[in-house]
Amino acid sequence: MLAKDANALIQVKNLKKYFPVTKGIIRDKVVTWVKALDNVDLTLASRDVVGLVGESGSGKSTLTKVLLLLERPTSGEVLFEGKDVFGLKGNDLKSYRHQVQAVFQDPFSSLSPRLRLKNIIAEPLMVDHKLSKQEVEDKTARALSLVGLDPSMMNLFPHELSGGQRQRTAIARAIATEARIIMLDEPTSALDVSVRLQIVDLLRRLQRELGLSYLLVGHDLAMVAYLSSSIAVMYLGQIVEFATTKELLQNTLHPYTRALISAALPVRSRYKKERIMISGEIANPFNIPPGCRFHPRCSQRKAICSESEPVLKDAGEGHRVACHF
Amino acid sequence: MTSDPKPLLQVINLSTQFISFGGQRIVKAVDTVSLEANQGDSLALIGESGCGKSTLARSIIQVLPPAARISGGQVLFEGEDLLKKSRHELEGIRGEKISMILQDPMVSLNPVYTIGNQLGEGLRFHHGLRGHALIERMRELLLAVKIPEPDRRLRQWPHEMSGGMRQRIVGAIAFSCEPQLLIADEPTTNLDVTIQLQYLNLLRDLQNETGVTLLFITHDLGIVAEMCQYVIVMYAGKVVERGPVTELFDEPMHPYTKALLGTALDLQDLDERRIPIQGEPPNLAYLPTGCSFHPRCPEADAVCRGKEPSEVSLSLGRTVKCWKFVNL
Repeated sequence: MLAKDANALIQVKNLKKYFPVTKGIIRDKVVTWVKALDNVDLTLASRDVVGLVGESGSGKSTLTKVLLLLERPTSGEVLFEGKDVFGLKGNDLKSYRHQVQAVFQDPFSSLSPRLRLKNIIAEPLMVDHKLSKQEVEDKTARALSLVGLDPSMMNLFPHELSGGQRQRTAIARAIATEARIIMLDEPTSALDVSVRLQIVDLLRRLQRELGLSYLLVGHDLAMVAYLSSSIAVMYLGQIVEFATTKELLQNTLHPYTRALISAALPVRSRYKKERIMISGEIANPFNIPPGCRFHPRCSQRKAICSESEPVLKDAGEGHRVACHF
Repeated sequence: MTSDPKPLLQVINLSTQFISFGGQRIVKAVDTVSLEANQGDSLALIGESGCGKSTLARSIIQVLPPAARISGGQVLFEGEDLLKKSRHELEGIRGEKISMILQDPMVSLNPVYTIGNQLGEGLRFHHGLRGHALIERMRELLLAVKIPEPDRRLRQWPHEMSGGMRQRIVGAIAFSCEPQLLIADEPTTNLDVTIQLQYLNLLRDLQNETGVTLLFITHDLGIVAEMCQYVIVMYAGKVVERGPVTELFDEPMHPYTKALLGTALDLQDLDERRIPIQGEPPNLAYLPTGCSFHPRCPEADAVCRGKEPSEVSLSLGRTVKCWKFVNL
């Protein structure tokens, strides 16, 4: 998208991440590659919330892992304020890790059961040795109160908390280092329905108050749309449609996005609509269909779809779509 | 749920308790719940985790964990009380007249038996099918749940299938003996949204074909609106509101139902800021006095804190359990 955007915090360019599939016991022979990410471009601006939606296996979590430096890409670039993040060393690397944090899906497994809340939240702070004990404690207390937990809870263990409180702790840990970007990987799917909106509301408030940027991964389109200013729809390792949330919902171009919107079932009867159901399941990433990756499931496919692969092209005002029609 | 003289399923004042904390405390997971369902109805049970919806469903077919005990009430199925049946009699009903689809097909399918083995179990046990007749019936079932190449699939193992396919196999097992009541406990929670829509459509087609009564347990209100005609809202083991889905979702009466619906995001109106329900679901071992919802209720007053309201009938099939509607 906007390649020369001065606000761009993170820019992902032509990112590819292939995982090898090996065979053999003694000498692993690479049989094929799983293309988890295939030519992904994405820009995350300062104070921006970009949603990533798609089915399991579409590569959305892999993308967040690459941005968190947990996976090295096969090729392509990730620029943070114009600098390649895979070339960062020493203090620059430390600073990147402080500024880019993550909140995962399941707060039951993302918090160590052996640490008290104060240690969980302080751990990323301790990496920076310049902070005194008192400063660490002040920052921990501040992070806890920002997420709506009482600072007196810092001596508790995760098992003493409810699911919602645990997810708040995970968010506190992410903001304690004064992060600017948070990768949110399905932050509400493990939570109870009534608690979900509390967390969504908290994330929205923190984003506004602290000026955070989020990359929000989710399969609940309504939740993603509620929080995000723009949405990237992923299918089999590629972005197939990208637009601002409003534009994406009102002027949907890709058939897959239409199916996803259709699958978000409305609650109130006045929003009942016709369903577009897609057949089949997401293709095996070992064996990606030729041409448009979505064509075997698409209701509007024509001959060209199985022959040539559509490229992501601009359909006006930053709305990009990869479809022949 | 009209007052038909002979409903298929009639649950009357059912209570199920868990003995917890070394026998020191009794947790009322289901507390004097009544419901009825006619042939072909689809009924949704909704509420947060821990509200007792799964325990209620499991109490109907009495597949409860050891710590649980049904402490009162009746479960009339075709006019006979299931709670009075012997273990042997119940074995003849489970899987034959009443079957169940659970949330996670990875858990409900046994990894060390082939699909054919598991799909045929009910048919062998209840209908005594063997040999060619059994295979033929299993092929029909797999095709009914839209699984191609049934012969190959019957010899395969659960791990060879995708999540959506596994859940369709579980569906085929549930429908194998042509049950009259199907209990589906969050059957699509582990599926992707597009696969979820396929599965719901499949369930609805099968329901239309077989006329099975569906008891659908979920916390996804969108699924309820899509699948069911009638909904029962549970909170802390009790029914707080019930009614036809469209009416209840468009005009909720109970403050809890209102709050629950307020948390549901519809793609068509995202501009409005949503107010979450305050607090967390209550601990059933330490329930508040009076109405269980009062600590989280924006409209609670002294009466709500003091005494529990009774269920008030508003219109045909529509009830609410809230002091605001008592004496109206």
